[in-house]
Amino acid sequence: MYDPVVTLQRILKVYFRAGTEVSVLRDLSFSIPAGTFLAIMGPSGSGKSTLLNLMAGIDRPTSGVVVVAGTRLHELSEGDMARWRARHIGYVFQSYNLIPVLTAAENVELPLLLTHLSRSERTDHVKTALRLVGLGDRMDHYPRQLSGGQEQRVGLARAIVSDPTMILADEPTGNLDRESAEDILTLFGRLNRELGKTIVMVTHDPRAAERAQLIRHLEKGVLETPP
Amino acid sequence: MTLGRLILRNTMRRPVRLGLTVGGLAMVVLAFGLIRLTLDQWQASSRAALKNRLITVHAMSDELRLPLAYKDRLTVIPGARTVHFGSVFGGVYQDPKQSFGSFAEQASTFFETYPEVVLSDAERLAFLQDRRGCIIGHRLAARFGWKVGEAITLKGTVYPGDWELVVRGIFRSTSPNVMGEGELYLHWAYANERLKTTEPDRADQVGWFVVRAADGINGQTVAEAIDASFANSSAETRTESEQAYFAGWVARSGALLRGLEWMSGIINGIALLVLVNALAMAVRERTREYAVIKTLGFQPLHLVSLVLGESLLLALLGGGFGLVLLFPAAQLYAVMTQDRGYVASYSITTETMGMCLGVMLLVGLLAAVWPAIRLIRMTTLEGLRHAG
Ligand SMILES: Nc1ncnc2c1ncn2[C@@H]1O[C@H](COP(=O)(O)OP(=O)(O)OP(=O)(O)O)[C@@H](O)[C@H]1O
Ligand SMILES: [Mg+2]
Repeated sequence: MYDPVVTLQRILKVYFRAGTEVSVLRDLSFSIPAGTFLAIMGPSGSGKSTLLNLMAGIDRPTSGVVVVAGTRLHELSEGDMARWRARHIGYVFQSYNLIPVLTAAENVELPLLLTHLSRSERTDHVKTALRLVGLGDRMDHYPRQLSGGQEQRVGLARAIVSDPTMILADEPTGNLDRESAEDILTLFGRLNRELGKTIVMVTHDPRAAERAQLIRHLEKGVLETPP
Repeated sequence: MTLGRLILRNTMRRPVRLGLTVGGLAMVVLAFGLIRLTLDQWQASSRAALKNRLITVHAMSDELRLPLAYKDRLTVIPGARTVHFGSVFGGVYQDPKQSFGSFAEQASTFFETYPEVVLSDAERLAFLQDRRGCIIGHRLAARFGWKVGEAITLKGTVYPGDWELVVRGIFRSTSPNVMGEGELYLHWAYANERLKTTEPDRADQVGWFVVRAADGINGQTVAEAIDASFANSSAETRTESEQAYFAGWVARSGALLRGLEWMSGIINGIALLVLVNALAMAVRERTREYAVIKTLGFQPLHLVSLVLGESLLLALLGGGFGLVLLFPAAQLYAVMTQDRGYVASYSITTETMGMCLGVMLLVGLLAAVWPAIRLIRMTTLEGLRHAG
């Protein structure tokens, strides 16, 4: 158990665009205790996704220290970073991003191909994950045969199947109707409460954010605790 | 589930594009295969030809004929062992379009001159004893369903009139590139006898003499002696060993052969372009999926294996289909490229098949390089932002 799971120190993220510097994150420091369900809010372009991607190990800061799950991410090579992601991060996308030629079960199994699990163990894990999100009866459906809410639940199952240290979600309910969004948020809540998962969710939606234990606002590159 | 299954599903994803790509590759393999067969055939002809079998024809043209009387003078040339002769017979069976080669040959020296001919002793004897007999290659027999003992009527073109012949033997050849298996041979004496009454001016002439040089004698020396002996006569001769004849022919066709070699390289370039195009399109469309797979923790090498697998699969599918088409195509090709009835047999060797598949493997390997480099360079973030 890593506690805190995430520690960011003096993070600076600057893009150089057409000769001008655009600083997205400015001297940002904070940490996330293990077992937290955190919602990050903020206006469009404020750098929410950028922040999440730094924690997910798919982006690097211009300067500063990123320690997630006890690993100093900014020091890893690309290959090591990928291996690290496979072990510690379950990522949920706004647009689900399932592989269309694979069934629900196969999509969920994909991350397990990087583990040493046997074929039957993998199948067990996949079944467990899909049952957890309430799709035990949709194993052999292809993404196009599922509703948006169901697709996102498969996305969630894929994120948790390898039992990662942390779940990161970038506007996971952004494409969903109210009801499906509620289902997803309820699942996040259960994962957090029952399994003690650390969850970081970026969202625009205040009702979604309310479901988290903790809300942070990102404004002009700085994290603020809401009043 | 394995990555192999993902490769398979990705490959089958767009059936129309799959069909067009595999079809395109199959066409290339087909063309490549036919060119290889042509080149093989030419090389095999010159290799299989006998060194001590000398062919004497009219010096001015293959088409002109030589007097039969030359035979006696050839026989006394030092080093000449057997003197054989023959002519194009030009027989037509029912439909002139269904042509095949037919030749009038001196029967008594035929088998000694052409040891490639494989025929049972009984059939050999039956042919020699029947002036109206003929022997046919087994391919010709199969083509018209002719049996030993069957009487057939041919319409003569070079030797006019209707000819009733009896099939006395069906032979195979130990070297089909030199001695084909799709021809008919009859007695020159019989053909000539009829010509004496119908067109006496053209009788007692032959298309070629074939002289077997005695063992241990240099064929070239004998050939020179023959041509020297007929120098300054009304019909001068040109004599070459069969091997030199084929070699000369191959040499004369050298530019063409080199052209074909080039062409076979170029069409493989086309295959490469077809495949690179298909792969590049597929990889572009799936950029985001590859980025997702990377996000899950897969390495660039995993992505490369996905693309390489797909590329090789497409190439081998194309190669396989091309080979399947090559077999009937080679038969059709043989019939279409027949020369005055001489039907070459294009046999598809394992070497040819290996070459076709080998080239496709190489094409599959090369085609994956560029899309793979693009995937390696792609950062996960860029890929995830990719629209589509
Ligand atoms: N590759 C890039 N090059 C230049 N600028 C970039 C790049 N990626 C992001 N940015 C800029 O960084 C800022 C933050 O982007 P980010 O995607 O993190 O915002 P966000 O808070 O997630 O916005 P949204 O709510 O719209 O998703 C934006 O102004 C964006 O234009
Ligand atoms: Mg965003």
